[in-house]
Amino acid sequence: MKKNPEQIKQEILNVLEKGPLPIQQISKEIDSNWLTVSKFLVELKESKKIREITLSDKVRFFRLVREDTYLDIPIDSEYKKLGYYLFQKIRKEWIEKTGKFPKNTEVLKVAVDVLDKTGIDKEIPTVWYLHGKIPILKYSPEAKYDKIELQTLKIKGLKIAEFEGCIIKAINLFSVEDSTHKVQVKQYEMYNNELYKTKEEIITYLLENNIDKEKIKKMSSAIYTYCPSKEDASEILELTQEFVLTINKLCLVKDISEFKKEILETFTGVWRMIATYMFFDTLTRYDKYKEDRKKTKECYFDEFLFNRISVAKEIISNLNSIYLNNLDKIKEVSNLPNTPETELIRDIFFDMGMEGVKEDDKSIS
Amino acid sequence: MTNQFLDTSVVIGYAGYISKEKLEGRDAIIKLCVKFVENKKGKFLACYFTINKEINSLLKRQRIISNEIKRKIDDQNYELCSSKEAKNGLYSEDINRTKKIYTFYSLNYSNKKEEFKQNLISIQSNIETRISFFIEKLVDEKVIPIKEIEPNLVNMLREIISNYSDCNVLASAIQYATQKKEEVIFVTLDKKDFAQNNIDFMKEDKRFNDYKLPIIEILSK
Repeated sequence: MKKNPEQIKQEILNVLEKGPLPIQQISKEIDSNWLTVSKFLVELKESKKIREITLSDKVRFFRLVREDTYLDIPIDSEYKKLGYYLFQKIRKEWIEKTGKFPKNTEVLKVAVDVLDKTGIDKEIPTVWYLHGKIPILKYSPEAKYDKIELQTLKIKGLKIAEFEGCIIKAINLFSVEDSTHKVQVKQYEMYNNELYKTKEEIITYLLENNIDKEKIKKMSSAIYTYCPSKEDASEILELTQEFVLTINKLCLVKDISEFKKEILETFTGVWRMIATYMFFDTLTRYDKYKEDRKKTKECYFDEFLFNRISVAKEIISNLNSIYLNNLDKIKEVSNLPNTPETELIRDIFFDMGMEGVKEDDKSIS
Repeated sequence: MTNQFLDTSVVIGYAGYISKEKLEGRDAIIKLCVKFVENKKGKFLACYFTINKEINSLLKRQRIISNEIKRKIDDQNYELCSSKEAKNGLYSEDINRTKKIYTFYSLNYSNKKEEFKQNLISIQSNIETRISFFIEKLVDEKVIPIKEIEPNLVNMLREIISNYSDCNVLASAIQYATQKKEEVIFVTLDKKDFAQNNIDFMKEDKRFNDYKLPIIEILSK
């Protein structure tokens, strides 16, 4: 029987539910020829139901634009129902325990705890992002989640009693905190995540105090210390390094508190870039994304990361302009600290400098 | 007051100052450099080759070295200097330098890795800050765009001085003195390449007759 256009489009959307695919694969999966699929892909793209991605090997992939997960990461429909059950159950139990409607952060932190401890995170991945670890399934405080009977879900080996018990335990754990900030910090502590702890310290410090130069230098250095350094994070590492170096230069200006707002804005931009990478990096700890890390990055993250990196570059450059515009307020510069490692690095730096550049130096842009 | 044209070594010497009670060897030479800067007489000139090529390359390579060490500390299985940035950006000599710093870490800090990484970026910051302060605050004029350096002059100098960078910086100083028709003192820490006999060779070489040669001042004990 000949399929009508709407049927073909729906079939395309259905196959893309499982993840991005190239045109040939879509055509094979829905048993329609290349030309027909190509035509409807254009229509679906125009109506913003799918997105086209060109990978580094020039192969075009198509990705479903989803409302239900972050960055369109696919999720199995049964597990999506389980996720919604979890959100709804957390909400109900939290209200019962505290008498208050739980905040977004509270629901997400409890959900992560349950998913990680029950191993369901293999199907509903939990990832580190802007404000800590979250499930890739979006939660909305406004949403009215349908009542679901766990027994009706087609999920093999789901231990309902253990799952329910975990929810109660996690609520008991997080509901003792009297602010969402404390709930967040508790999660960072639980996972011993120094990068996120440092991020929180910097933001709290910049929001609450006048800036002490030595303290902000130390804090920003700590962000570099814990910044991801894998090879596919090289741009992120370089920009974080640039941020720290710029902060140190800015600290030459007598009253750095004057630029508190700009420093906070710059740090926020740098953090958004790091956190987006962390999302990718932690997602690829799961087998199905680990297998082809490069493809995962290209399919879901490259465009987004590129934007975050561009913003970070621009705001770091703005911060550097502030330093350059305040040169007249700079009177002195401190010496290098007298430590064995300083001497070693200084000597190496000195040797490099005395040798000069080579004629074919590739490091100079 | 005669203008002082600074060799890259002076900027680097100034940047690497560690205050110590006992100043020996390299520390003593660097201290001379700091003293010279603090007792500034006349205008400080630096050429674009020093600022845009030498210092830029040096800082870029140093940043790559720091990141390589951080990578290795973060992941023991990582092979030092195997990243694209290291392969494209470092000199072959820099690889041994990176290994030297990593060996220092392994011997002294292996159980305090966060502290070492923090020290690494802090030292890098200190050096870059001192360089920036020097270039932006202490140098009065940046002269001779790289494109304007005369290749013939550089080639003539290379017959006497082997180092490519030194020839470009000295060529910039010579061109500046010639264009401005003024006495210029070329200040350096480099005793080897700017040794008196090299300067004497230049004075004897008729090809330099059309140029005004700077007076060389070597900061040394």
